[in-house]
Amino acid sequence: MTDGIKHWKYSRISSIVLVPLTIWFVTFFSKSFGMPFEQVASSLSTPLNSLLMLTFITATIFHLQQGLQVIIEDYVYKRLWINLNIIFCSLLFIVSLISLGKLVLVGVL
Amino acid sequence: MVELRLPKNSRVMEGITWEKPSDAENVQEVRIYRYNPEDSENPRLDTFFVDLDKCGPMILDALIKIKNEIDPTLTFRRSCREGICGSCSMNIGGVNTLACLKGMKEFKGPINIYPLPHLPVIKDLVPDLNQFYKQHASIKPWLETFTDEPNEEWLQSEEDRKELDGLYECVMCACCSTSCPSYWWNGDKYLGPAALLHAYRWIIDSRDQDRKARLDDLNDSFKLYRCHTIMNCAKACPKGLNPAKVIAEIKKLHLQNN
Repeated sequence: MTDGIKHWKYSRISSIVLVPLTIWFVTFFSKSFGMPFEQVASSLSTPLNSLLMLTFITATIFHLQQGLQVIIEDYVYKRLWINLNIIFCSLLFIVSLISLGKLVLVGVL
Repeated sequence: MVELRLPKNSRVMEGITWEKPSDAENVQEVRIYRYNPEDSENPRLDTFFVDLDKCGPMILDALIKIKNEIDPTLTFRRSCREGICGSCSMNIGGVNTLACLKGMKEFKGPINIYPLPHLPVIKDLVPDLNQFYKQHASIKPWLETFTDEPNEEWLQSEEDRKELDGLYECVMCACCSTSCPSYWWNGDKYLGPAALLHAYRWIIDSRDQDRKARLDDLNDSFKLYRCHTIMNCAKACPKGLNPAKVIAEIKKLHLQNN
């Protein structure tokens, strides 16, 4: 038996967390329109912004994985697809993490 | 698993058009899904014409008139003709409802009548409800008690009894479950709104002593959590009940316990 309420709870919590984070994300990047790349990169690598970005990425990818799993369970229900979804979202998370880490620790090359 | 098209041998063909009654002024066209398991033909849609001046006002009246006077092979379930037994559930004008509660005057133009969607059809408007009943049995629709039996009956206060309003009225017609896309795609694993409504009716019964086990049994990503609050169940219910709200109540109870 798989835990129904856990999945339900986690997708609700991640969606609530994403509300303010998405507002921040949209505001941040809409303000950055037309700015030179280096300036956007350096303002993203400040401690506050990079931390918000990290939370945004984590919550988004977690929510994505949860949501896609529901769709797979609804329409296909094959364990293989559920596992592929987990692998895909994990890869996406790792790549995002490396990019953000590089930006904060190394800066723009 | 999702199915977007009917299998080849289930596609509905053009059927017989019966003659219009010659002396009638007030005629209603009714198109009815026909399927006979004893021939190898595809299902078909037959057209009948009912003289409204010589027929009762409800869809069920028309079906009975057609069976009596036009085509005696037309097969459908019916019993009480007043919305208590839940036998005559079918898809009328694209909506699951009880034929005995649906008036013919509510429709403009021809009325299309099909069996309840996404169930195996036994004959004409009679679907196979075996799985539906098994799901109902699986939620233990009876009082579970562990303490000694009282000398008389299990008592319940009037307030506790009120909790069962909006739940006990369900007549198990299956209109809700068969209107639910989640039930269409995962009807073998998802219990469906009707069974879940009954499950909740026993969960909140003040006399029942097996609440935790009942809730734990439903905490499953398929049995209950296939419900995505689509709300077709509430829209379809011919008794005006709201299974979607009930499912949300069970989720709330899960949230309190986990």
